[in-house]
Amino acid sequence: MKQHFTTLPLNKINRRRFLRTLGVVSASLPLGLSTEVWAKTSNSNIRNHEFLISAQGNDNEHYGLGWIDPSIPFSRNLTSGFRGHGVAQHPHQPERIIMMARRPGQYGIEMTLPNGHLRERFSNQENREFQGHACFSGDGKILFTSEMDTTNGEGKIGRRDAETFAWLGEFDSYGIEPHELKLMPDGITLVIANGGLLTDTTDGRTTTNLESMNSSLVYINSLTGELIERHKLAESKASIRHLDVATDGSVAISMQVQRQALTHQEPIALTAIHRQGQEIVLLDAPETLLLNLQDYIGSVVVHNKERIAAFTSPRGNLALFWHCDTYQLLGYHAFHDVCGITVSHDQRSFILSNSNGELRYIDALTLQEQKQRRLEFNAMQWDNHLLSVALPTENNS
Amino acid sequence: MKIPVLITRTVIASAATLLLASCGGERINDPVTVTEGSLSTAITQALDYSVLPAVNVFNTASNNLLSASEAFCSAPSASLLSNAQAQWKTTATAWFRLAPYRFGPLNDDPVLPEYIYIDSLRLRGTDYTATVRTDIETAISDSSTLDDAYFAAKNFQKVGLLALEITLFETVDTKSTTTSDIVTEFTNTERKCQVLTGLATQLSNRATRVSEQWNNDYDETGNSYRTTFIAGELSDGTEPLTLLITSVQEYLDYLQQRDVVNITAQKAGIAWPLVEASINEIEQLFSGTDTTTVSFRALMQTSGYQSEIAAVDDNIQAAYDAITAKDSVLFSVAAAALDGNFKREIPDGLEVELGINFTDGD
Repeated sequence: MKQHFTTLPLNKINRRRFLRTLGVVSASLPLGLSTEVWAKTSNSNIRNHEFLISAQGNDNEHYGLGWIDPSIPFSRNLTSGFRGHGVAQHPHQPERIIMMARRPGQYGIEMTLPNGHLRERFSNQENREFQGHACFSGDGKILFTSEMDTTNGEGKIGRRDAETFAWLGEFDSYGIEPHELKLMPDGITLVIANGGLLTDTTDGRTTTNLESMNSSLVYINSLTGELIERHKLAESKASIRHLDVATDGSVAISMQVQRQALTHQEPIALTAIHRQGQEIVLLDAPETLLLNLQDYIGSVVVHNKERIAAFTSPRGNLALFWHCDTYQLLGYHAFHDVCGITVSHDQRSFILSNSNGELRYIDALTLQEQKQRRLEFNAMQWDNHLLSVALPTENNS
Repeated sequence: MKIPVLITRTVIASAATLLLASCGGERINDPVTVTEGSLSTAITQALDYSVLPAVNVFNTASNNLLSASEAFCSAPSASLLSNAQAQWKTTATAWFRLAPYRFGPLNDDPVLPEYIYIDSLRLRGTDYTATVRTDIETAISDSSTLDDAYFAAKNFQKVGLLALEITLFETVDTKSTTTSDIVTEFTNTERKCQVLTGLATQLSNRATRVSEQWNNDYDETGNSYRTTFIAGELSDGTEPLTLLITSVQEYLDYLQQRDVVNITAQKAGIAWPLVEASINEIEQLFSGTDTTTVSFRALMQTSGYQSEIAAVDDNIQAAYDAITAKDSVLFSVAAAALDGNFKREIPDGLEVELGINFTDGD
């Protein structure tokens, strides 16, 4: 069932060839579903369905933006030619999906659902690298991207026209290495996870500032770029990387600890809740559980109705759930190489994805797995982040 | 059974007879194809000839340690102490053969995994000797009832092989390691015998529980963990071979990062033989036993990965050389190199995908 395409490694081809090779849409059926059934189901009422979207793939040939309709289900992949990372949905045109390249990134793409058309591809500015995430302004007119100034390592928030992706300018991120960013419920404030790491320019991954790393959680005005608040963790070797925002403005954040910069093996909290004007509250867990996480949380999502902040640990093969208000650990679920996590459109479940192409549903009330809903797509290798998207109900035939 | 591999090569191999016995159906002169079936056979044989024996030997050794402890406490003597100490060494050696397989019943509870109650060092390389000494002193000096409930309630830092070693190999008062001093203390202090047998009972119970789940009923499913593993039906979705390979990776990473040979079994004085037992086990897992017909080595050989096999062999030999020289730095280097083999050469040679690389975070 694996699909193969003639996509060459990006670093071996020029820009023109890259443009030719990206954007191939491939479809794969789940185990046991015929092409005939798929054709019927995909031609009618497809827009009634929820889509699950994620960067996927484990080599240059297969990297892409993958998506599935879990109710049919089928999987499709828009090849990108680069390893993707964060995905974002336009607030008013829900069919428009953005995928940013994993850091250090040069590209972003926009795909339209449900057909998977490559609507646009955009590149970084000179002396800038994308850092893996983007979000839209409240009116959907601006796309904000986390970026780094490659000349001095300063964090930047790029501003682009969300229709044309023309570069409009940038703001400071007031820190080093901005990673995930989200719009706050007021529609104006951006909250930014400044990871605080500088990396080797040759590979873009090796950390070069372990001694001086400087992570922060920053709030800025998305209209003016003005700094509103900046917060730091007591543990200077913890890098704030991912976040999600609840409707009341609570921000769930997750960290990655640079253990090689520490001289001890004590467990360090990797998850926290923050509210503007207050201190960051670390979320506690038993020592053995924390050690299992191996210093890394890969993704976070907030369930607004149940007030649960959910996190994933691909190294620890665990998804973990804390209450946003009591800060109590509510449970955990063991799932191999789990990283993507989202809340289902009907709010009834958390959905988890892993690098084996598997999806699991966790009941948001009981935090028990709904085993009958397991899905597996052998053609997919889901990467860090998963997003649930529901398109307006209408026929597409 | 779902096999986690993408076998893309069809290989004509000279080692045909090696695989024919297990793949079935082929004639003696047929070319040998590396199939999902042969890999499945290799996994099953690795389980049956390496992993399960390690589980069962550790269980037997732990039960024998309890018996030896009870025999010693019934009539303390130098001879019976020597027997109990020897049985502790046997048990610790059995543990170091089992330790690379830290999955399933040993590690299916993320909060209270069984393995930390056997080997507290393994959690994060912390030496809890001082904690154990204080706890034994307290147990002997206070008036608590030293029954099963008392020992079952203890934190992992205070039980397991380390606690038994401290109890068996030194005195509480002066930390003397002289046999006569130890025997005298046991003779004069009945509560120390209660500590010894209480700790040994707990270890034996845990080893039996692990063995029971591996062999008979795992997590009240009615199926053994062996059956679940071979069927590829692990609850967290991990593929069997991925779990086996990453478990050995993690163990080698542990040996490399923690100063195990300078912390473990210091009173018993067998740290080097213990890590040698681990390397023996890992070598056996890779190459198979006399009973094995399809080993991971043979599959790699058949697929033409001779240089990768040579790299593994070189690093295993380097580990043995470091053990012979009792050179902890060289041993750490060899363990790291072997860890790299289990991350790259062996998965490549078996054409296994271990998943997306999240090792450098993001």
